[in-house]
Amino acid sequence: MSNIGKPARISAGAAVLWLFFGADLAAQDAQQKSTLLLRDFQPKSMLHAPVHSVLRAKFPVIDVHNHVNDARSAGRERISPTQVLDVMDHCNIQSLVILTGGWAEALQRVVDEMVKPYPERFMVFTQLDWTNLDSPDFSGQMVKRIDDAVARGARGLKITKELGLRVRFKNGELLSPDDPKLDPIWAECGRLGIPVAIHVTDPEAFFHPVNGTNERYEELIAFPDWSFYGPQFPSKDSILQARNRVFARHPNTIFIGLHVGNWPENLDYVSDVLDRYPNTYVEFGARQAELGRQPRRARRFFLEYQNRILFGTDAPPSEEMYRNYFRWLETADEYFDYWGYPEQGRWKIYGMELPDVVLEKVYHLNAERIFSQFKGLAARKGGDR
Amino acid sequence: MKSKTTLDLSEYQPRSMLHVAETKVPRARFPVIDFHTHLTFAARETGNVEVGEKIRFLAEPGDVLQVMDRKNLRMMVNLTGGSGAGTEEAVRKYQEAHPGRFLVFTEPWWSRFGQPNYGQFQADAIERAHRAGARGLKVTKTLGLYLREQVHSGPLVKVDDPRLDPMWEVCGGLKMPVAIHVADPEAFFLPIDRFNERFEELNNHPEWSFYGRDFPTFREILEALNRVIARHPRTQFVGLHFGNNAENLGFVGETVARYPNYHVEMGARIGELGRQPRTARRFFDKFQDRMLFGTDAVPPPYGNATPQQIFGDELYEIYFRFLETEDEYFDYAPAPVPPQGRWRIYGLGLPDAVLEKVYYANAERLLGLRS
Repeated sequence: MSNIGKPARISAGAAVLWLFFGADLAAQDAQQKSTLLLRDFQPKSMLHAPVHSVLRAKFPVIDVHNHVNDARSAGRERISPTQVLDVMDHCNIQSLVILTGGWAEALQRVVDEMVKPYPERFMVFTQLDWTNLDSPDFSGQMVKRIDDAVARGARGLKITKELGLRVRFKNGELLSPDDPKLDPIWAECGRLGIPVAIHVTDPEAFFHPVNGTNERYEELIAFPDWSFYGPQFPSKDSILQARNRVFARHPNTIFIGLHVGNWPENLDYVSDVLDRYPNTYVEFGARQAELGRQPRRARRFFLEYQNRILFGTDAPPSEEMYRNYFRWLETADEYFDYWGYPEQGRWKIYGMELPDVVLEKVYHLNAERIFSQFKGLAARKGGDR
Repeated sequence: MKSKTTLDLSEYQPRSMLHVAETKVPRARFPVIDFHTHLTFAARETGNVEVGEKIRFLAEPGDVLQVMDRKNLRMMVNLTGGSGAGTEEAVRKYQEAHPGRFLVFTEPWWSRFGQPNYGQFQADAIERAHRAGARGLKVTKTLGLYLREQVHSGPLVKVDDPRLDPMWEVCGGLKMPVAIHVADPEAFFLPIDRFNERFEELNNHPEWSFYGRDFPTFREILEALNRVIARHPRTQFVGLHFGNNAENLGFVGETVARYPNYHVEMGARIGELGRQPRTARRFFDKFQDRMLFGTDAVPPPYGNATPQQIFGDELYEIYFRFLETEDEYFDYAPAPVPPQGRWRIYGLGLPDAVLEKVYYANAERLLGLRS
């Protein structure tokens, strides 16, 4: 007779209230019920939780994932280099890597404006130009471009998520990250001793329908072209598998999986990738939200892979932004906003209170080890070993 | 944010994309005393004040016992045992019919508040209930938020009204713990608007809003309770719902430290505790002798409007998971939208020594169950 023990779901709340409080209150309830749009809901936390501000990072930092004054920013988005340096000095940012440096003349502008005047403080990466993808000599052209970029001062190659999701041949076919056409490019980076900072796929939620069950609903509404749901897109998993085949095929090239290898929601998977490919690293820019909502799992991940994780932000440099990252890495504070809240999802994050030895590696030692492997064009002249 | 969406908040029911551990805890690690349950209610009430002694049974003991046996619940304390004949009936049906499995508390006759010498009347009534078998006194938030000088009219009666002193005193003498719920979550004392983190809950239960009108402030009510606890050191008080201030464990910790006769119970507050797992874990470690396991369980269908309280296997599994595991980012209630605020919780992973105290040892001591 009893329905006790079977999971009950809320159904007609008003009917149940009637049992408790009588019909008058139920009616009042129905009357007073007002609607609120998700976008207008800005709840203020009632928690009296301790706040520990971290004004300067405990160790000097290399921000390996930034776009400040990059090749695309000619014009309105520019911040004067001295202003950036001020922020960096206040926060203990030793140097900052501008990943999207473009190529050729655009790259030269970034080098001239940022890198040459402040060689200890800024670095720049180059990018691929997909325009001539169909050319039989695409690989050769790109290798030359990369050599040229390194000659101009670039210290790495950045791959954006267009690869795997949007870069297509003229016949409409998607270019898979593990297409052999790209092999000479990966190999060249290995020869030059420059890392490949690679972003392929995106948060798992971007591969699901944009509706009320999507945890990144608001972000996808704000940026509709970030949705990769539908038959025109490969699955997240298949893109990552293609990427992993590249990692396997080019053991002498260093790959930095941006955004925690683009699957921070699944640290078991990321751990497995790091275990299998010793030539890979991860960077956590713009993924505080994902790591910070699973602080224990994330902390275990940081301890276990302390030699393989790089500090990055993917955000315009500001003191407030950096301090938020430091609080997350250095303190045990609970239930606070990630940088950019609530766009990536309506949840709060928890600090990891990393030990010094791990902090130092993540803040700068790991990045320094990677950049110290730079060989440059001298190595190129020697040709293939 | 540039959000252009017109999605209604109620339609936002996000599924988590996290791939994290999900530990099932079908049975508690130690036998449990659930100190905060509702198996009976006053059959009639107006304005949150009981009318008459008649009570309503929300579940048959036999059905309840099946869940208890599956979950390793040794005992349930039915706090809302009503008064007078109602209490006697509840004692017979649960406590006497199933010794060792149920205890019944009695409640004040607030409807008689207006009569002369109410305090003494109430003390005598508690004494009679005690003779009938009642093991404690339950005080609901009616005191401080609904009960008025002429019951339904006049100024609100303050929690530390001296006329109630005989009631608190007699409980001390009879060794009946007082399970007391005063105030409510701090958010209930703020406007029901888009900045209120319990907006949806208040929207679903507008009678839970204590903002404005002649309500005392949240702080005033808590301070009044503290004066009562201080004034009756021989009486054991249990602050239900973590003294209704789980959002501020600093405050609760100070209160527990200051008054040796004060304890706290966690019913319907794992949502609050679980979103600050480190602070909560420190609290549990520090005050491990002063905390009681409780759920505020209400059998279905009565509990259906408050999913965080629906008595059944699912409810207990969530509590056990919260206390025993270090799982991350899980729901504190079986509902498509977290009913007490849109967040998820983290387990405390309590050590056995603390678990045993919280699950039963502290309650045993307080309820005088150890010979």
